[in-house]
Amino acid sequence: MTPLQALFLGLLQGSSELFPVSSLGHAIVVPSLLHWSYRPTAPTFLPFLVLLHLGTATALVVLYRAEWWTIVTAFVRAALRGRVESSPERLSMLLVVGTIPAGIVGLVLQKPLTALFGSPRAAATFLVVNGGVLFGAELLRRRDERRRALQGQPPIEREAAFADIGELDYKAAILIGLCQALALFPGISRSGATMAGGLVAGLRHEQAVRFALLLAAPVIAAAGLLEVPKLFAEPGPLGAELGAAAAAALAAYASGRFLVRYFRIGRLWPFAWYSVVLGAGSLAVLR
Amino acid sequence: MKSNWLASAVFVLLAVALVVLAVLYGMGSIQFLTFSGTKHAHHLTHAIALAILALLSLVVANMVRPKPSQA
Repeated sequence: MTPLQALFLGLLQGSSELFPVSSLGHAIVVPSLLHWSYRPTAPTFLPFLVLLHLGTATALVVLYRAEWWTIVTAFVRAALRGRVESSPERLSMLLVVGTIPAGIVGLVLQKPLTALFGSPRAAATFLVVNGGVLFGAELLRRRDERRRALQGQPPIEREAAFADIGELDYKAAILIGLCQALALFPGISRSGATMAGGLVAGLRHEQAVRFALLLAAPVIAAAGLLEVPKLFAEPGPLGAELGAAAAAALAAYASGRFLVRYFRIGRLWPFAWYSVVLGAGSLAVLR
Repeated sequence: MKSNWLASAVFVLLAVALVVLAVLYGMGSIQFLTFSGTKHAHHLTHAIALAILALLSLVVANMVRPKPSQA
């Protein structure tokens, strides 16, 4: 892999990790479309992916740095007391109960699923499925809006009729956490699946993306840290890889900020169309 | 969080299962979660991750356990 390819992949991973379009799907499909010679599932490629994931996780923590400090301290307080007494403590517990199922399923199924579905055609197929999930979530939201007679209202008023994270119950948090596990299929987006889960649970779009990004940070960081030993097991130059990780961090930070602003009134439709078109186009091109 | 004995018991059982898995991973007795990579270090990181999940499960179990003042 040349330094330019590494930089490109860093930018691609950092941006597609948080956008609801699947970074793993892109990491598998795009190099094949460009006829690059390495295999993204090869063991020698893993240390590079580890660095990119750590870069993305760092960006997520920086993006919500003040909130993470509040969440961590609130969690410690609530855990020591054995009781939830404030909104930050409740949010910390929602994140914990959402992370446990994703963590367990991820630990058990990540390797088998990546090995089974790591081919470009499988990833392209799941990109189409990802688009379907996003379309489905928005169609269900549209049905909800019809039921509440919100159609025709300005977007901000429509969104205001839905819930924020503080109103989420723990069962919904567990289900949204389980949605993260869908991202184990290369081509299904982690943030897309959790946002879809959040919308189905009745969250506003802005709150769904906030919960998705908060929920993603511990899982992405843990997935990166789990693979850190491979950084030392697979020898190789690290200069270009570190540059790519920095690019991934910057791209992730910028895309995270964009998403938070976009989803104040924006919807998942463009990402759904993008996933379907990229997946279907890749299926047509990749033989 | 509403108090609930059943939910508390489920989280305790989950924690026990995770601790058992973590110990087995730490000892290198099982490896179905890892297909590749460096042998011992990789198992150890999975053991640590499972232990952390077990700890979080216990925290949640304690949180949902009915407290004496609520009984």
